[in-house]
Amino acid sequence: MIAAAAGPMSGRALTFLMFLAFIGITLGITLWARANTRGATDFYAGGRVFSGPQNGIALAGDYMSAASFLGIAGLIALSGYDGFLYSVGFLVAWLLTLLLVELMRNAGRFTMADVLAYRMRQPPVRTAAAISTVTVSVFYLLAQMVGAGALVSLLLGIRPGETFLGMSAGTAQVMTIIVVGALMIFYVMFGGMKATTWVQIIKAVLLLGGAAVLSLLVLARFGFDPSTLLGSAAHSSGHGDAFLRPGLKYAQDVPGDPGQTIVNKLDLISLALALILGTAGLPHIVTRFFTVPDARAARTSVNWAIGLVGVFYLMTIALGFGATALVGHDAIVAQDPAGNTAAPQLARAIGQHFWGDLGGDLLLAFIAAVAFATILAVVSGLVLASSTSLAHDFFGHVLMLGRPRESQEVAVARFAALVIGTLAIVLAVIAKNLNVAFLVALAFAMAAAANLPAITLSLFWRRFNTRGVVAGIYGGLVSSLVLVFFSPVVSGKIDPVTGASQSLFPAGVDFHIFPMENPGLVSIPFGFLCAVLGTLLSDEEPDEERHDDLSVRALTGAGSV
Amino acid sequence: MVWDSRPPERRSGGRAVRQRPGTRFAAMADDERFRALRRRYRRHALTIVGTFLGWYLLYVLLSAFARGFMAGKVVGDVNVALVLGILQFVSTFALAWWYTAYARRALDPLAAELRREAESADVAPLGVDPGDRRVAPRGGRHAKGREPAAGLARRPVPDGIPEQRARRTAPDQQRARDGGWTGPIRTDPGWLR
Repeated sequence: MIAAAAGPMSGRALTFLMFLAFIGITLGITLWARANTRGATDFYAGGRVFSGPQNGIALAGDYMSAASFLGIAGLIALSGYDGFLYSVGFLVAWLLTLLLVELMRNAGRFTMADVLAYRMRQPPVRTAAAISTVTVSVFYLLAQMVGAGALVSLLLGIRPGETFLGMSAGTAQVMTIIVVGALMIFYVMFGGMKATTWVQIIKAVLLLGGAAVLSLLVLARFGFDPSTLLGSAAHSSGHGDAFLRPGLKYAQDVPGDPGQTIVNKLDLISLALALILGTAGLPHIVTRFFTVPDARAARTSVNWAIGLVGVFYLMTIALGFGATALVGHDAIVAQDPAGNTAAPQLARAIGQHFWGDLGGDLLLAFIAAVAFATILAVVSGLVLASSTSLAHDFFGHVLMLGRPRESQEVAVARFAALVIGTLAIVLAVIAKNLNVAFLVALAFAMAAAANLPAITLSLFWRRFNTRGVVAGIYGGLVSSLVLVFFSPVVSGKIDPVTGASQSLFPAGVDFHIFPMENPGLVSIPFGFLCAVLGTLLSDEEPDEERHDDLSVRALTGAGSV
Repeated sequence: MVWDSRPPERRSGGRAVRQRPGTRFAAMADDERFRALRRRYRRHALTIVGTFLGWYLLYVLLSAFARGFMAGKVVGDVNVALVLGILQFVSTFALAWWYTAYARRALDPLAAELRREAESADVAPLGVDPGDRRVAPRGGRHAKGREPAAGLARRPVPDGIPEQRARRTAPDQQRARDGGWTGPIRTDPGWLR
């Protein structure tokens, strides 16, 4: 529908050309970065030469995934206020990151485990941290890649029964996953952190620019009166005033079932907790703390990220409500039932309104290309974070007992990027028709339950010891996974109207025991509990002298690299 | 040398090193000024965490349980729910700004002073009192902190560190200063041992 109205081929060709232009530029950057990447610091941390603002833009780029841009705009377009409620947690979370970033930057070198293992026995802690990093990253990666496959077909306007360059929609989906995967492997293997950061910066500027243009146009269309925009959106949504109130998607009231109503409300709180506590433990965010020269630059970069992410989510309000008002609920659902194409559809509608068909095609092509750039940049950041942890933590400190040669470690990191990237491609192709959107929230819940207790207790609790770190990481990770496996997102959630399955498994399979879709409310306290009990129940003496040393390093920056 | 995880007897090519790895700056933890820095950081961090967690959870709870209140119209079609949501953005920006301003004023100068002292005390060659090498000019505000600093100066200077430094080649040193690889730098491959 989006590219079909005026000239289907011309709009589609334009989108495709912009994709190619982005790929060309980023490949050029990767080759430049390849020539300028010599050692571990270059590969893992971009040589620590990025300024605070540059790294801040890249942080925002890492964080504003396609799920944020297209997903939240779509969520607001279909569920109104609840979509906005979802986006608030993503921003507030950065305050915790702001408080931890300097300490982490001062005390660590490349990975979260540098801080966790500092005063503990290295092998078990590094192994646990690497497992957690790879698990969180791969789940998040899978969500992005499966989404990418479906999305690019939609963005190029290939519908079932049509072909593009001789490919059907299904083939195009698989091809997209493979091309996106191959590009991300190429960026990371050859360009390391330098290439990934520049890809991230370009993408963030494009994304913020695109979102700013769209929201200005939407506001201009409604005479810069937010109330008119909201009223018009509520009218077109088919929900009326309820569209502007909480309750359409999250914490739904179920008439006649008070038990389920309470579960729904707790589920919302569970999701909210995972969002605000998970960000500071996301591996691809933590790795980015180390790309700046010192802790002050790291703080500046988080402040930039807060500003940019905040402005971006404020703009998604205009995008989401604008899409409902100008495109209409039915047209959005007709294109994609999950609403992921709401923003591109809005681009076309608003462009047409101001500059006719050509304007609509141009704006649509631009926004589609921005969405594509977003997917590519975010998946690269994820692959880099997991290969860094595998090479530095597992290979360097567990297999090689902390004494690998630098060149060996970097070679292993490049190889790990290839392995993880290939694994992600294979998994994404297998899962391409499954509903994996829940994986993003799961990644946040795992980061909050497994990584946050380990990070905060390592920095602030004198008695914390090896057993505590290991118990906390595995406890948080496993409890999140198990709870989600036995939750309605995996089995047993049925659409009450159509009877179709809304879970991972088809209708008819139902082994769900845990009532909530988000494990955070249980798994985050459980992660902390495991960390504390693991410490108290072991007879290992805490290394107080090293704790003192770590706190001096973390707070003053003494001895930091 | 900072990140060397090997047990002491395996560092420095098998010679025992008197200073345990990972304890280079431990003595600074008893410095009164460091305790003040830690106290200030913790107090502000806890205030911020308490404020944003409480305020955000209140917002989520209101969205879940106080639907009638949230539906109240403020101006035109703008309701309480939307205004509270926008206020979450405002409060996030404000708290970030407040913490950053406080850190610049009250944490950074103290941290920089302590860092200079700790690092200069550490690299002093044998026989030189690190206290004499202090480069940090101290303001009157923390004048009473001079005593603990003297305690730092009395620490035995670790002899392993300068020795290992000497074994580095010049480009290695340059790289280390540039924030490069500061892991164990060896001339012989580790897997031969």
